[in-house]
Amino acid sequence: MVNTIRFINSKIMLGLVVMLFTSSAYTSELDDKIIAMSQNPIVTSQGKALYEEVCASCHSKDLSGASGFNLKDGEWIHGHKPSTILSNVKKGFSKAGMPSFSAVYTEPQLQAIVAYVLSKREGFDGLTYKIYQMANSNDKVISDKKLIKEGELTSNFADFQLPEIKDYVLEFEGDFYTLKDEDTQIWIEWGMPIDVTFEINGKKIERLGEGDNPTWKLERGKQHLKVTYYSGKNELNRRNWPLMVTNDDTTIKLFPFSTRARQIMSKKKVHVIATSKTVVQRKKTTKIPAYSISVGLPAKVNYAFNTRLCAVVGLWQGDLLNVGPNVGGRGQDGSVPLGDWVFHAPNSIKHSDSGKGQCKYKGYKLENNEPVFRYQLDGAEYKLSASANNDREIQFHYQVNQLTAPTVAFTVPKIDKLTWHASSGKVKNERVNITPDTQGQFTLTAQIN
Amino acid sequence: MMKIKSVFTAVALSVIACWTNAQNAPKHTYKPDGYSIETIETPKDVRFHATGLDSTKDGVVYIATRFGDVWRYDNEQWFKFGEGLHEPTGLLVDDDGSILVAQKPELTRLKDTNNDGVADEYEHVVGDWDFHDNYHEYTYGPVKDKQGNYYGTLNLSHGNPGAFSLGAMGSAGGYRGFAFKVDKAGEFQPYAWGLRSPAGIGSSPQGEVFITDNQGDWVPTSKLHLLQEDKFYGHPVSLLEVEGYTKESITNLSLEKLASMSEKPVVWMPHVEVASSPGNPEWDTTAGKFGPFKEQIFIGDQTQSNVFRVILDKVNGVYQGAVLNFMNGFQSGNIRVDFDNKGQLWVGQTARGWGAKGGKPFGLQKVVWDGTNPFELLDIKLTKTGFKLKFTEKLDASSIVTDNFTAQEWNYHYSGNYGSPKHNQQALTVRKVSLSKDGREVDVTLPLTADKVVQIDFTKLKDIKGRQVSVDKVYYTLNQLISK
Repeated sequence: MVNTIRFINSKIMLGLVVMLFTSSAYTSELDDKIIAMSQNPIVTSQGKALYEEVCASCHSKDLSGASGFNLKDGEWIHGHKPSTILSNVKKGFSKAGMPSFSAVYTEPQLQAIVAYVLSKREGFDGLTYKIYQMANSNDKVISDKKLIKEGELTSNFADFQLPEIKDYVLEFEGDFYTLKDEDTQIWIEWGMPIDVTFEINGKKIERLGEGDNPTWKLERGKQHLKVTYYSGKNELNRRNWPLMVTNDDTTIKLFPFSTRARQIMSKKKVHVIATSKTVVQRKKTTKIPAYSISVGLPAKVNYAFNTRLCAVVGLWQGDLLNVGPNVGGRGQDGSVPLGDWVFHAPNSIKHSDSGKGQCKYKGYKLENNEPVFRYQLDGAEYKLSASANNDREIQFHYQVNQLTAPTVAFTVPKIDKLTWHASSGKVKNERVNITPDTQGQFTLTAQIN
Repeated sequence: MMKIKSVFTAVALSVIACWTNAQNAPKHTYKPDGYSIETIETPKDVRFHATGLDSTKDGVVYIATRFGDVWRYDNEQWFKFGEGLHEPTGLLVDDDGSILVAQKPELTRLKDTNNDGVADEYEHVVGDWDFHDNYHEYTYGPVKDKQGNYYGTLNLSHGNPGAFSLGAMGSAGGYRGFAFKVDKAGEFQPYAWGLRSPAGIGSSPQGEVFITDNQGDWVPTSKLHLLQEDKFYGHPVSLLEVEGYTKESITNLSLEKLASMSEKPVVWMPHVEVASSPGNPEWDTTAGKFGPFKEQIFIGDQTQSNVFRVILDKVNGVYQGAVLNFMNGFQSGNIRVDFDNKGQLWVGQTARGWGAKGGKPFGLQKVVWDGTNPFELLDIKLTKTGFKLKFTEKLDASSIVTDNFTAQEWNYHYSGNYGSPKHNQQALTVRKVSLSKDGREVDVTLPLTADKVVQIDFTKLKDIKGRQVSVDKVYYTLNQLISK
């Protein structure tokens, strides 16, 4: 869709500039309207569905960009106003492969798409900077007399390489967007002494974390943020700070805060996706324990089987994994599921009475490209595979040999959006008792509502 | 006795004081006559960090990548054999043609049961160690002995909050820092311990297993060990899983006690000069197809992007020996080496996470020999009065004078600090040199002291064709003198 919204083309840029200058009160009114729509969950939900239908293929489902640009960050080469974005979506950029969508969707639908995109905004907006010349490395007194340079940063990333002097204070200030439904914090990729303060809505926030690995907790959603960095005694070549925003326990690096972090994080996007056939990936992955094997089905539903627990420890809709955090650098971070969790550990599909004996994982075999996991438990040998026709239902197929009891008992996650069915047995609360058929086979089906 | 904790400060100060003993890599490109590096084009758009490498008797090469794929290279064509594994760092083509891969959580056997050229079975072989999702918890191996047992090694963790640590690296249990053995029945045995980052394991033609360990805390410089059952190799944290030890008792062990418990390495690898991050030892079993270095050990180094040789010497029935550089200038970090059936030395490479001198992030190269007899040091053996140096070519007798040989010795300080500078470094006087009748061997007489590394330089030597060696230094680990 918008893969050329930020395509640098001088002719297009000129046209846009002219358009912006000739824009009327209508655009201002339209801007306000779309911004209001972006706060409305009903509208953004409609926009999300449309976005995922056509835009996600180029800009990725999470808006982080693929062949098309990142639509969440603050860099809008062709203009960031909602009315401008809407106009560009309507017109498209045919030379870059983005069609016009004006004839495809209605005006309200297009506005809903833009509203959804704006609702997912991350990072700075209207970012400005100021550089103060300090007397020496110990000087911490900021005054207007020391201000030597100021301006706007259209990239909306904090650029710590702006100063070209030895002793300085560098300020960044602007509106800042982060997740609305989850706590997040600012974090530094590598530990070094840093003298920096953060103010949210005019109030200084506490420095958390240990030693040279500090964190600063953000408020949810939109806030006004001011950053003040004192160069002090930091070595000249150690001042380009890789600041990024993470989830609350820093296990997921969400989005870059600074230009240096942007460069680092751009290398940590490696999507592994099941398109025409099932894909198996064994990687450290966020939210699920070690020893998990992730399986992505082309129906856009995914699960993770844990070889130590012999349990399904994760289920998510969408695409399989961004393995970038696990295959970039030293790979300290976990891969991130490219979709929405249905459940993850400690929720799991597990044998209810598995406490009696430790399961013994035997491996998996690809049968018609589907992994069939094998394990032993309490003297019985189990096989497990899964199938799905769409992302709203997944079937877990079990086969058991040498079973000593007539039924097999499972515990399944009790979650509002999940409905469980067993091929021959009852599902009551979180417990399922199943009687395998004469072949030892039975199926557990999860319907995702 | 000095306790571990109290000794740290003193050691840190001594490190600063002694660090002037510079450890520098050779600045020149070294390469024996007749040898060259060829670069293999890896599959397009694939992160080909080659960390598992082996070949079949027919010369088909199998590669495991850190991304988790297994590739087959046959008749200059790439085929993807397997995928989805958890950062493999070892691969073995087993006798039945199946492929054993050491991935972080387990040892897995990949089989192509329907003969379509692609693995369809990923059989769990063993995984009795614990993997805590820490990035540094690599599994290396497997290799096989003559009896059909498999061996591997388990890296310690780094930055793992739950781990027991006495320096940089730690263990949260589950046999981290151990070598393991798996018998033919699949039974796992914690075999030996005290390892840090044992990134290389190899099996000799006689079936003896050797391991390398990387310089760092409790490893003064990188080293090669003979792997032996129930032995301790110097890094204390894995003692926690050895009967009779607790965190407190380990912390209170004196350096002297720990040092006395530790196995001596077969060779120390001078840091940077030879190796910083050695990979697997590979024996030249090519019966001359790779030139004159038969039965010698070749090892790649991930940081230095070089390949070096190890020459074993059995003294009083115990292995010790020498290291010397072989070739440098590879494109990336050399972590795996393997000789194929044609006598070519394949080199699997990665530089991700830890930089390498070669600028490329990953790759695959091979060293080939064109039949030219090079002029290099072929062998070194300890004598009662010094060393016997054997060269690959007849020497120019006029260059065999004491002035053309220099020597020095030093040792290392074992501690929880990250590596050690050279200690007790001093020049040795070369008292006499004499050339053998066949013109290839030189007896070098010099003073010998046990528990030292002895470096001999022979830059000015010439062969009868007027050539000089490309590698002019050998480092002999003199654990013990000849007793009889």
